[in-house]
Amino acid sequence: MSPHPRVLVADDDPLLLDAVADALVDWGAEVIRARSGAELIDQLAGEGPFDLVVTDISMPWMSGLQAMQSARTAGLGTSVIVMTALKDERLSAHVQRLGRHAVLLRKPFDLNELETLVATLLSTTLSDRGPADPARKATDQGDTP
Amino acid sequence: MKSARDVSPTARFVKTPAGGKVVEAHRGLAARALNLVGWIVDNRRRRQIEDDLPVMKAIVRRTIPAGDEFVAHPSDGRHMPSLVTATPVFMHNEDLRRATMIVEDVLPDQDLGRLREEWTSIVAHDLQQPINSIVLRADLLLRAGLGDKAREDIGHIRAAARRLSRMVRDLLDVSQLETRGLRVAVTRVDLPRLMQEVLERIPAAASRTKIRTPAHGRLIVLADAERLEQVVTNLLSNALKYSARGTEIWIDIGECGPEAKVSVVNRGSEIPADELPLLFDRFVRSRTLRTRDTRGLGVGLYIAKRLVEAQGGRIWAESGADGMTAFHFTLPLDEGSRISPATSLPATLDGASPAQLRQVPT
Repeated sequence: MSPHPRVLVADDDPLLLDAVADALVDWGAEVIRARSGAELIDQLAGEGPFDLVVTDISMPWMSGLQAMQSARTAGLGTSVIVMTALKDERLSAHVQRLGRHAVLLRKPFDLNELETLVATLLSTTLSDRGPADPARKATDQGDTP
Repeated sequence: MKSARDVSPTARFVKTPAGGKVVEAHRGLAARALNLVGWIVDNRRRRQIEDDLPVMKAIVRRTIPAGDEFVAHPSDGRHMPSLVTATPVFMHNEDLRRATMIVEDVLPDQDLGRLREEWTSIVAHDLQQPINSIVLRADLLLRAGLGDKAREDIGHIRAAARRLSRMVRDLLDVSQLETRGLRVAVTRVDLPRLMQEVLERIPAAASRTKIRTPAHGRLIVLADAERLEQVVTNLLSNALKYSARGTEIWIDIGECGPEAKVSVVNRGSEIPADELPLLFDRFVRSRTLRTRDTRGLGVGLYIAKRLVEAQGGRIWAESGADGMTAFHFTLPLDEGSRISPATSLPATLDGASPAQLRQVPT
């Protein structure tokens, strides 16, 4: 696994976005943040490639699922953790449609659950893809003002 | 004020010896309140009965009638359910001649239920966000190398956030149960194994709970593993809450005719026999146990009952003078695999096979 996997985190709740991002930075990831589905798409296009996307579902303008479906349609196979507090039984099926490297994480989750899932997804996808790009910078982008 | 009045679903009406007058209502509701005496039709008896109107009951019988539901049918053919309550008004130096009446717009039940569920899911969803932040931040703090006292305090914050989260989930469950019923996906489940797995996920219970399984070790039931876990979690959390400090909890798993029977037994205070069936109602706690450290909303057993019944089982409680309280539930056995060797299999046996979906009406 790369020493600093690049992770894109999206959530419209600023407190939770920061909590998840900080947790992943502590864990050793380079984290980029997005606060809406539209921003998620922008970052995917402009700041990629990412090793992992961690996204909420209900966000303004475009849901995390819609954003990831668009990304998949555009040929982007990045692993994704879909976080949600929604209690809809059909969500698992929607997430499964995003492919093999997509999992659903029910809110509220704790640090261990998050880290375990991130580690699992990164190890499977990175081993699928081979060694990571050594030229990547390892810096956290921090809060967007 | 005006705009609040215009959207308020309530009209206030005062009945005096000279007639009646609407004190506050928007136009549609004001007209309805004024005309109510004239054209209201009792939903049950379907005839005009002025004396049965709450406002008249209040004047004549000097009582405060509980809210009565009336369905008004104005001349335009609409169907307008209203909840009507009334209160007598005692005037100084005057016989009772007045009463106020409150007319409320009532949506048909199904609309109300749907709105309530929508509202509850929005609230539940939004509440989980800050709860999740609290849990993650507490976990990060626990790793920050703080002293024992600080770690203990953070542990309490974390536990409180978890409890809050469970309450929110329970609330949402109750709301869904009542409006849409329950969808259970029934598969073949290795009951003793699932019970063991659930127990391991609740450390507070695992340290003091003993599971007694049938000699052959395996018992396959037809159940929804996720929903079954919820039932067992609720029963165990209940047993933990009400058992005397330091006592053991037992889980007995056995066969009972065509069913498997699970009993969760704890030692605590005796629950009076007349309270036992009420335990499964919503928002109910035992009167005798109420002073104890009670957590949650009092819906855990209600949810457990609905979930067990949705899976084709029954649930009931027993309590003895010795303080032993048992919650029993049954589930249909999978007849095809009653005599099977004890081999290692995942708790949910059907895994990827299509689940048998069952829609249970409310």
